[in-house]
Amino acid sequence: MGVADVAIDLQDINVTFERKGETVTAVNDVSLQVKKGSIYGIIGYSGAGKSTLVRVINLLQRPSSGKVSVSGQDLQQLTDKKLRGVRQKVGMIFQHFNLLRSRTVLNNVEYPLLGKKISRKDREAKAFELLKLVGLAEYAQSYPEELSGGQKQRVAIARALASDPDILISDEATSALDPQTTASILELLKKLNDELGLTIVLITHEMQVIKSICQEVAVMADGSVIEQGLVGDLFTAPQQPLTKSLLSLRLM
Amino acid sequence: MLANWFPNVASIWPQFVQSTWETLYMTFWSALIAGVLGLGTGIFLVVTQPGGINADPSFYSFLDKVVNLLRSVPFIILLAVMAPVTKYIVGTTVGTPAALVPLIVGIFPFYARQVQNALLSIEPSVIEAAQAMGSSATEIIFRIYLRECLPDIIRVSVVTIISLIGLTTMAGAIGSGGLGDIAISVGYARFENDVTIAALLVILVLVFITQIIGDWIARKVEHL
Repeated sequence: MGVADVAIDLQDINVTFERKGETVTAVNDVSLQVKKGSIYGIIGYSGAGKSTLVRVINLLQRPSSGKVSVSGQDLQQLTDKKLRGVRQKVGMIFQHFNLLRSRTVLNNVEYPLLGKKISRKDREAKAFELLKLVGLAEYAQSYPEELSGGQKQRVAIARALASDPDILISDEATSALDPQTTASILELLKKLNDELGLTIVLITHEMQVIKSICQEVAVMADGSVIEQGLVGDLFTAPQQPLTKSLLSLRLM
Repeated sequence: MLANWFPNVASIWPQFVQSTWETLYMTFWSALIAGVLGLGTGIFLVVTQPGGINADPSFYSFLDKVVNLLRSVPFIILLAVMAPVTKYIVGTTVGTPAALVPLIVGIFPFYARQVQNALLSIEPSVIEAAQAMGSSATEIIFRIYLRECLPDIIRVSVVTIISLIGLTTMAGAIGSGGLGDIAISVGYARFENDVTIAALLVILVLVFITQIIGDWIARKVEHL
């Protein structure tokens, strides 16, 4: 894999916290590479360190040691201002959507463009186009609390796309949704991956999610990646007992 | 009717009107200045707290202690303690403008605490989402904290102004003038109870008006 093909490169990442004088290791010596234009899944039970690990990608969580590069840039060397610029190119969606309740759906999608060199009219037009893309144009003037969970997540996706990101991080984005809505959100992510070439890093505790859209996967437990590779290989020949148990859960 | 029900108020009418203006003057200016100070302090408390968007635990701890200390001083003692500072700033320790100094010092920590609580009602994950979108600390303060919490900020402002109206009456003890002053120095001291009752009625009206306007604005900024 050439350097130019790598969207995200994490090397020897450790994240430790001090809690009541004790050192807690949240991420333990993790290295992984995500190819440009791929969908990379990270799976594990809650508390495995998945959320902490993906927050290292945009330095919401600074690692205690290790190297983070995104689109060839070494993030730890950047000034705060440059880092904010990189963050605009890494969209993120969350389990609980994190929309702004005081703003309309359209204004939520416009948020990442505030303060940018773009006229109000163009900004609104762009946000409206994104709402069309996620199928919610008719809700532009509604407020988030008037929407269902699946609709809120679509708004969050539109908002994440407003600053034309190259990468989208999905932090348990479908975990609060029912299976049908989950399927439609995953379909939307797949479509964005196909049509925009968006690189997606997705964390989940559901094997079904990995199976339906990911090409590569890492299995995490206690802060470490215990198994990683192509999704097909993992399903046909799981190496670790935990991976087997995650697979069998799905079959039950 | 005034002469029948409030004979002593009628006889000092110009003084009574003057006192009402003094109360309004003290409330308005101290609300304005303490409002700015308290809002700023409240924002600083939230932003610098451990885990805040610009965490600075030692500064936070200092500010937190100052606010607690000022809130612990009984207002009637604060009035006396502040006298030298007032003399330095205003040039005198008596009169309505002089009362502004202790009023501001007395009310802004109270407001700061309430602003802090209002801002803390935002889910930390929403702030995290804004950081993930590349927002700077200043952008998060103005576009997220103040915007999302506006209805709460208006509500705590109303509570603060109502408390402040109460404090202005106590400032009468240091010769500030105002309705509290007239209620005690005329109504109570001369056994002219109608003056006390009339001062109370005006204060109740001020409180009701503040509440009604505040509720109306809070409803306006809430979209649903």
